[in-house]
Amino acid sequence: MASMRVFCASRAAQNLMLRAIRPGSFAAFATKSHWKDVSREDIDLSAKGIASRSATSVFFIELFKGFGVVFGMIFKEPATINYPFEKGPLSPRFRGEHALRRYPSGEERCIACKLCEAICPAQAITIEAEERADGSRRTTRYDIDMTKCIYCGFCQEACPVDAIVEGPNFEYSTETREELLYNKEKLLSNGDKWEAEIAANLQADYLYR
Amino acid sequence: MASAGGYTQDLPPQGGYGPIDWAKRIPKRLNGYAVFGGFIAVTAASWTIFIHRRRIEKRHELEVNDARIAVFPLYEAERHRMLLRLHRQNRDEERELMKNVPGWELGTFYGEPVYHNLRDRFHHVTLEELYAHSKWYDMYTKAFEKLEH
Amino acid sequence: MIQHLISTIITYLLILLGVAFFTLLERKALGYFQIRKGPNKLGIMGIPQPLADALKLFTKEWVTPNFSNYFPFILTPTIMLILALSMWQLFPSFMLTSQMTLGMFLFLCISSLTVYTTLMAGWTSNSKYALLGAIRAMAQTISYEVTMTLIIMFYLFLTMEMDIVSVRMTNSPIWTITLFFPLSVMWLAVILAETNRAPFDFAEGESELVSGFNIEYGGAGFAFLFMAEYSNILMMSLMTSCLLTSTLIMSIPVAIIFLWARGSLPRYRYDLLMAMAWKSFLPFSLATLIALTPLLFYF
Repeated sequence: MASMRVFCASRAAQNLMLRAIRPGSFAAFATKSHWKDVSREDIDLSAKGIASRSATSVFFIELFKGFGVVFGMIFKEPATINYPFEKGPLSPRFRGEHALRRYPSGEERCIACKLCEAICPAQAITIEAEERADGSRRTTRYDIDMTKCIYCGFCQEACPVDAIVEGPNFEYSTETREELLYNKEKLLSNGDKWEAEIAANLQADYLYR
Repeated sequence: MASAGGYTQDLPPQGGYGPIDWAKRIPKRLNGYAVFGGFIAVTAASWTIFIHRRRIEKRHELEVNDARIAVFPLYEAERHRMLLRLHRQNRDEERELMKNVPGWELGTFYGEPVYHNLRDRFHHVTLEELYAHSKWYDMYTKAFEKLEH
Repeated sequence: MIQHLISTIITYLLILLGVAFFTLLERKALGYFQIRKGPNKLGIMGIPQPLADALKLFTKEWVTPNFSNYFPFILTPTIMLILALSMWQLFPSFMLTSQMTLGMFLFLCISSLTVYTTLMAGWTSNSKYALLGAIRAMAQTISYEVTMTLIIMFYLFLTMEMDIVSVRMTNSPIWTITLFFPLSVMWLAVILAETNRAPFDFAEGESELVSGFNIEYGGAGFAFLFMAEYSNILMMSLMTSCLLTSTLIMSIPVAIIFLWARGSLPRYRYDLLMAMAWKSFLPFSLATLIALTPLLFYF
């Protein structure tokens, strides 16, 4: 709509003057300049216009049209997802339940650098670390309070070894609050359970990380 | 999830999206004359039919009413007959019931009349007295007979 | 005697059942109006949902506000339900046990009494939102009752009887809805306002007054108020089918219009609502009554 211009007062005045000077040629002039009147349309004051407007308001015709539109919605396919059996699509970046991952060898990835503990804005992570018998640094305690967690995903961004991740699982409601205080064992078992999905998600998103 | 090679980003469809339908579509107004004309036609027609039917029904009603007035004396006579029979039954019942009581006179309380009845005319008694010797349920049915039909 | 009692009890049970499944219909219909499904999990297609709702509501704890006027507070839902159910008594339901000569008069009396229960509910809660909601609902109901009475009077003049069965028989030559169509549309608006339904649901203006006059009621009390409201809706549908059309089956489309209006129309503004009652509906219905009833005496 590049050729369309909005109505402007000076041009309208020009047109008026032109109409006064050369009444016959005005129509030709108007087709040359592409303007569009965006002001409110004139009310149709002919008898027919008045009749149609008053019929619209007296017989609530627009109300009934609205009723018709709503009735038409019945025949559309409902947008409802049949939840426990169907689920909505999830992004590979979805931040759900936490998991601690392992290397393919079975060695746990976490090196107890405590970056996640440091960055956690809700202070939901608690880590204690000791040197293991073989001299490597590993956690002795890795707790996440899932009731404190705000699922911001900073922990998985801070992690240098992709150990703590937020997996695609979002159905982990519990009956008691205590069950939501995750320890290292629970997190590692989550990692074992969801490893395939987590790895695929990381793979899908690796270009943007 | 696709592998690294096969993974494709979500992109617009081939050839781009279609044009956006932004123009406002103002629905055509109905013809006002037609709407008003239709309304007046429907209203006039229904009033005509209604009043026509109403006259016929009024006539019918009048006829039924006349018939009712004609048979009313018969009904009334039948009703009075039944009433008198009930009174007679009550009297017989009372005689049977009170035959062993000395000094008891029929229809009175030991000779004292129940009603103030100087000219000895027929007296309509209450429903309770009329049905004194029958079951309560019969009286109730009689009293609320009009509700049944 | 016994058959009257039995017929009444059967009628009431069927009404309560109808009310329960009307709520299901409402949720389903609203769902499909909004391109979603309604309750569809419980049982087959969610059909036992109202029974589950009732079970939930009646097993809930009975909580009353600390400073509520306790006895009237718990009495109000009962009175409301009793009034709503007693309204059904004026229609001969089963074995024609109670055909009342002044049925429409009784209808007007009872429907004006329901205003008091709304006020009671709001006032005894001793909470400002409940009171505000109750006052608004009361003002609205009273305003629309005037128009309702006038419209009913017009249709009663057609037959010169107040018995609801005779009123229904007026429609036998032609549906009185066609006699004066704008009046019929007005009647629909009035019954929407009278039962406090959308778009005139100021009694429970959810967006402004949390839940209106019944905000402090939970559990069984709420269930009673709810049942009373829906019973009134069904009663009004029945009344509409008697007044405007000849067949009782037409009460079903009218009941669906209640849901349809709730699905289509946004809530009206309160001052406009009152203005509509007093400045537009009242003069219009009065003018109709005055202009058209002489026709009946002339012919």
